Amino acid sequence: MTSSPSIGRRQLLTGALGTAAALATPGLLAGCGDGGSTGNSDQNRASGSARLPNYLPYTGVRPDLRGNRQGLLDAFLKYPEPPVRATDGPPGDGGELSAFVLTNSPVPPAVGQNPFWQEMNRRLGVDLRLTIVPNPDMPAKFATLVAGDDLPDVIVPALFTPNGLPAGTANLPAWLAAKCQDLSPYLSGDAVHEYPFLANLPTDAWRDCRYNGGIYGLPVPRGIGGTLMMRRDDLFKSLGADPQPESFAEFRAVCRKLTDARANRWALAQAPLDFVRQMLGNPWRWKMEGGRLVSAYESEEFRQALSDTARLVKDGVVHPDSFSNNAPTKKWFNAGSATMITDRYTAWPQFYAENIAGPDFDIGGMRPPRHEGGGFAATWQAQATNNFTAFKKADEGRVRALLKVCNWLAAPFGTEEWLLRRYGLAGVHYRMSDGGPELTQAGVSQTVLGIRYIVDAPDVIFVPGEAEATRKSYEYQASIIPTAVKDPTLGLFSDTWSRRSGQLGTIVNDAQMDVLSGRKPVSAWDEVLKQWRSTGGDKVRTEFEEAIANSSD
Amino acid sequence: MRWAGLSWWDRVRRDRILLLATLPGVGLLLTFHYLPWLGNVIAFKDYQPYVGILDSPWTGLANFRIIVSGDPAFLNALTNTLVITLLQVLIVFPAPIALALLLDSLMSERLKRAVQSILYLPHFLSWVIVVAIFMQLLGDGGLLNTFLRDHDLGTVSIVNNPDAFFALVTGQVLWKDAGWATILFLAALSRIDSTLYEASAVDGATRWRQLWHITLPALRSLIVLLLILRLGDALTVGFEQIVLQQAAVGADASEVLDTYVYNNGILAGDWGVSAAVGLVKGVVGLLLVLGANRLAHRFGEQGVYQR
Repeated sequence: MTSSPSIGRRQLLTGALGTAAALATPGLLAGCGDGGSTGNSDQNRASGSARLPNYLPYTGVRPDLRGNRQGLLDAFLKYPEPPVRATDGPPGDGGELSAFVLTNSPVPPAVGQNPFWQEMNRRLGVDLRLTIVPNPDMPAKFATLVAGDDLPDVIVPALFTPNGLPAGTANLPAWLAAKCQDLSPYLSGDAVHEYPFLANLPTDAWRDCRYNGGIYGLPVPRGIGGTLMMRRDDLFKSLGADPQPESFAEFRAVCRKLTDARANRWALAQAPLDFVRQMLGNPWRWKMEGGRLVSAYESEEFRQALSDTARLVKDGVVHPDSFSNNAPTKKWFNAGSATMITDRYTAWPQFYAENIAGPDFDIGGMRPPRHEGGGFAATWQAQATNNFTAFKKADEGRVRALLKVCNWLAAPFGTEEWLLRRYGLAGVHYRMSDGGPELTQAGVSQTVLGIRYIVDAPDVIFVPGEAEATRKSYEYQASIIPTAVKDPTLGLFSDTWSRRSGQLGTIVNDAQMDVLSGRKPVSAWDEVLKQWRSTGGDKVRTEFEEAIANSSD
Repeated sequence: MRWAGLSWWDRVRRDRILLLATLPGVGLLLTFHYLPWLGNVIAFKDYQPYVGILDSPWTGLANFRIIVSGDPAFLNALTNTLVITLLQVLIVFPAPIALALLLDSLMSERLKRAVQSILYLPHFLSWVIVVAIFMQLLGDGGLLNTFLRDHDLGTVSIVNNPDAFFALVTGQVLWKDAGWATILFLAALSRIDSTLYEASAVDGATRWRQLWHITLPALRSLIVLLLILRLGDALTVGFEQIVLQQAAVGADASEVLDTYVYNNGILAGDWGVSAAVGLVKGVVGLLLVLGANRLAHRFGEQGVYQR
């Protein structure tokens, strides 16, 4: 419990850990910090709220379905034809640009054997020197990079562990302050307008780049629509199941109706704990109640959700192998072995790309009904970024040169630049079909340079070649965004949380699995909660409460 | 130490070419096997990746507290490790010996080769594949249970059943590696002087007597050597295999020391404690090897090295 005088001086410190959450489903990440270290006074000393870049939307491309400032994304029924040419000439000065980036794909061929890489160098006017690290190796590689102290120009700080839990980011603010560039002089307020595509990034995303009272990086923005319950509408239709149940009881009945083990079909790919939690109004991680933070795990609703979900598992409506590591849930969903799956909205195009069910294949999003009926329950807002990228300390000329290149890399959807960056050269790396680009074999292997994790354009809803699917995805988001609840700690920093989130996440995860799979009774949760609180949950609460009190948002 | 009357320095000069030739190998060994040992220093530190190894604060023996204080998660991991080790020594270790003897008794060379190849194959599959195959076959939605379900026979939970976990991992190790492990024993068997068998046959020895008095004694030093080496790994019981199957059965049934180190260190970010556990594990392994080796010497065997 820190209540030292240093708190008074402590100002807003944001970002870090929430970012880590982005890749994993929200439910995995709940958890908190640990009873170990005391506060973050060193990291906070230099704090003062950073002025965020002033948002200036790019108007060169017109979306087919318009998004809004609340977080609804723009949607495109087809890729604009011809694509807008948004820049003239290469942004680079012919020099080198070294970067430490991550990839979720197999590492691409080196520049000598990679025409895509060569083309990017030509169009950017720089010599890209990339260290491309597979995501699971990130924590170890990043630790080595920090220890070696020989930093490249831009660095994607490792924020995930191999299973998607946040990696330890303790002391990240101190490291940023010591080694990395405060970009606020170049980006705060209207200064960002010199880089029009960076000015086009949503404000919520910039919040995750604030540390030490400055802007310490560029965001890779993602929609706040986050995770949802996806449904195979074609199967629902052919089985005559109600696509939108109106209470938990109805949901359970629908699940039973959909399940036929002998036909190798189960209603759910995973135990739908988060979905049931949302039905009960349980928050993602924290809830403000009378000026105090209450953890989602401490509430009666959470226990109720555990017991309801365990009942679904017991009913046999969840795929029986769903608790295995790396359970091929996406395959089950595509093959129809599971009719519902919890996944991020970004999986929508992926399911269509891998569709094996033929032209009838149809996906929809199921909104969580209120548990006892009577309308819809609120969903949870997701992190507005996937990650952020820090810059090595450099002089003004160098920083501006780098920002210029990054500005190009953030060119929005609909431009020629975006198409080149993500899909490569027409005819070589991709082909247009039904208004959407489709990667060729060469494209699949060569384009995954990881530069999309340096900075990215604002995300859009776009299912290549499937206008109707795009429309459904957009409509689902439009229906949930207005009521989606934002976690009060999103974009805030707690040192203990940053140190112990992995440990606390593991405690919660293991216990959830034990209860859901029926290995332990719901009553075992009391002990887990006690452990969670003493391992750091309580301390994280205090630190986040301080951060909220000092926050300017 | 003297060697043919030459001093140490003279011998270095005489063998300088040979010594030079070993340098690259030694360099490789030092760089990739000995230098990383220095990283074990984080067992005595509160290591935080962003601060680096050198600048992380010292914490003395605090990280080792978990080992002596009886932390339930640690004890659970230790117990599971010891049970699996026991199973491996009792069941997995003798299996290839028996298999080699069976193979050796096959008369047809052709058949023998074919059987050998089939037995070797699983060794070349990675654990990811093996675990996936077992899940496809024995999973609750897998081949076996689909068959049972289709014939209304009721299902059996194997890969998702915590009570069957030890049996499952032991079975997988047997299937994957028992065949491969026969290679050494087959080589040893082929070196046994066949006149011994002929002489014993003349004296009226049965197959069992031959096995007991000729074959097994010939294999004895190899068996002892392998057993000692196995003891060095006693606390290492198949990290990849287990970590891949943990989620299905939960930590209580499946946490072993290696996964404990991984889950706490890499995943949960508690690097110091994990390094401490790893360090102690290594030291225990070393002591076991040395102890077993000494025991072997006492029984007149060669052991890993000669005295």
